[in-house]
Amino acid sequence: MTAATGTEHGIGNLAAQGSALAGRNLRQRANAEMLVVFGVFPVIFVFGFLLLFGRLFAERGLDYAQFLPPAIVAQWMFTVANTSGAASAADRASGMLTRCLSMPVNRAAVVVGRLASDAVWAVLAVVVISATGYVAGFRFQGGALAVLGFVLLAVAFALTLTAATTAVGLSSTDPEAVAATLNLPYLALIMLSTAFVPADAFPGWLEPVIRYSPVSVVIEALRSLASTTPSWGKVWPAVAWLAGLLVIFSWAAARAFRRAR
Amino acid sequence: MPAPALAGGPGEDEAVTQPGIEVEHLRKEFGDKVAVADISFTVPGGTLLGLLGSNGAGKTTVINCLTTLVEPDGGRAAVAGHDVVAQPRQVRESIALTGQFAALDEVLSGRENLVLFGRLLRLGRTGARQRAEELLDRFHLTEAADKPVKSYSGGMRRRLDLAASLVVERPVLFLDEPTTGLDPRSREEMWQLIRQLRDGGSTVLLTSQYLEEIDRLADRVVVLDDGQVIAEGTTDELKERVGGQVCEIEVPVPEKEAAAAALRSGLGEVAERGGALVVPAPRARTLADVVRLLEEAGIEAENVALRKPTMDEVFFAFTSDGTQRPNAERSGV
Ligand SMILES: Nc1ncnc2c1ncn2[C@@H]1O[C@H](COP(=O)(O)OP(=O)(O)O)[C@@H](O)[C@H]1O
Ligand SMILES: [Mg+2]
Repeated sequence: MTAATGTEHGIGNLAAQGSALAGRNLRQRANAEMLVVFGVFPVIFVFGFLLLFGRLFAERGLDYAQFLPPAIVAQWMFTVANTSGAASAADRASGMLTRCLSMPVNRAAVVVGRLASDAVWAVLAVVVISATGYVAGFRFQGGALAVLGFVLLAVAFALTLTAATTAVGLSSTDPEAVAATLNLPYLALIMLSTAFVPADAFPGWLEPVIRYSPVSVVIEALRSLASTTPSWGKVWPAVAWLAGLLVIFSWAAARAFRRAR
Repeated sequence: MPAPALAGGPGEDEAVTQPGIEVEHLRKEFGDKVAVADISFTVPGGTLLGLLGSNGAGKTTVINCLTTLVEPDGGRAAVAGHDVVAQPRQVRESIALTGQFAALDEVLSGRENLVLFGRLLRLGRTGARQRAEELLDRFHLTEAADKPVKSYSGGMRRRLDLAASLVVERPVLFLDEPTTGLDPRSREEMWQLIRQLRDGGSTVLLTSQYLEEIDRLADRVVVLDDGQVIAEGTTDELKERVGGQVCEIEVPVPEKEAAAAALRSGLGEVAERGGALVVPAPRARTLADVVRLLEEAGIEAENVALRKPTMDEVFFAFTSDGTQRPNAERSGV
């Protein structure tokens, strides 16, 4: 009987167990499907939308190659979060969650592991999309600090969304149903935002909704950070939105976690 | 000099036995569904107790309470000397659970699963890898070690699940229906492994729907029905009360009444199960008695056979000798 092995208290255990679970999450999804989702689709989206709208917006004086990539980044942060929500449901369905909770594994390690692996996917998506954008003419024009801000904000956006999708995922044991359910708010929120067209392209009555939607606010902040004149005035509303949403979503996720046994 | 105090005095048992599992008046409700009404039992350290009950009897809920997965609504329970509510962390450090359904990562290979659990239990990378090799070998999984778990057969999955619970050896083990859904050969293999664990000195709480399984493995049995203990004893005591076997008699429908009356006059109890008549058959000669009684009544049976009692018949036996059963209606096993 080994008494010393397998304890759960303290930051050392949290870090070690969290990283073991993060590694497992990454390994679990390191498959052909994710290669397509994170390697091929972003390329198709960037060039596809550019082909569709590039010339149209050029006539209106909008450089679409600079406008588009931050939106694709935001879109992919949704993909990261939705995939993560479905994975939470799968862990509940397969009993992996129960097994972890019956072992001396730090309760927070499950969450830390999930957030860490999502952060890795998010950074990967930002890199692939930015590189693709670069080929199409997109440039980070605001310096190294702004690039860092861009990456951090994108990851923060992904993790805030993950808190929400975790709450949904942990309330279910059907990963496919979770993925399908999460697609609805994702599509609605992306469509009703300034992701692909500027706010003034929407009907007048809808414009305020579009302009103040958190998704638009985050995308505008990302655009600002990629521009020649990164502006704190564009970034802080995004930070405020994310902080507020994170509080609500984390509460919901914690509640679902307590009930998910 | 401590030796005389240990030599056969009344305190001897307490002095040498390590604590196992103690459950007192445990209760758990889900909304208005009472899953565990009032359950008490003890598993002395180093013994194997079988928790026998049909689907919905409350077995998994008891296990979930004892493994700190759910908090009981009433009563108390201690595992390896630690209270499950007040000291959940110490409890988790003393137990291993193999749940009712294999809890594994389907995408990872068998080896990767074991290494993951080893790392979660802080064996370190090298330690976790070494331990995984040992377990793969012991559970005859070396050949399939690098295949994803989703390609495993039911038996292999169950073995890996048990192996995953043994990455760090713990004094108390919980096995929730470890052989449900397995083919006879895999079941036999599982039994072999469980016997080894029992003989190795672990305290084991095993749940099952099968009397035969409990019979093969357990020192003592607690029978659950509808969230309550309806019988308790050694397997031999239980077998005596159930009779070990039952005799099932099929007769043409018009003659059923007469056949039941004839059997009752000669053997005491007769029950009807799914159109056939069933009598407890504690001795092999019950079969001969049945044939003789039917012959005397001039009834020709379509089929007479001895078989193992089902869970329903176990309950039937207990209720018929006076044990209270809280819920007379049940929907079968
Ligand atoms: N989380 C739950 N919510 C509601 N009812 C539950 C829950 N878990 C178990 N039950 C109910 O409690 C009873 C006992 O269930 P369980 O302990 O799983 O029985 P067993 O393991 O013996 O089949 C069943 O009627 C079951 O439907
Ligand atoms: Mg069960």
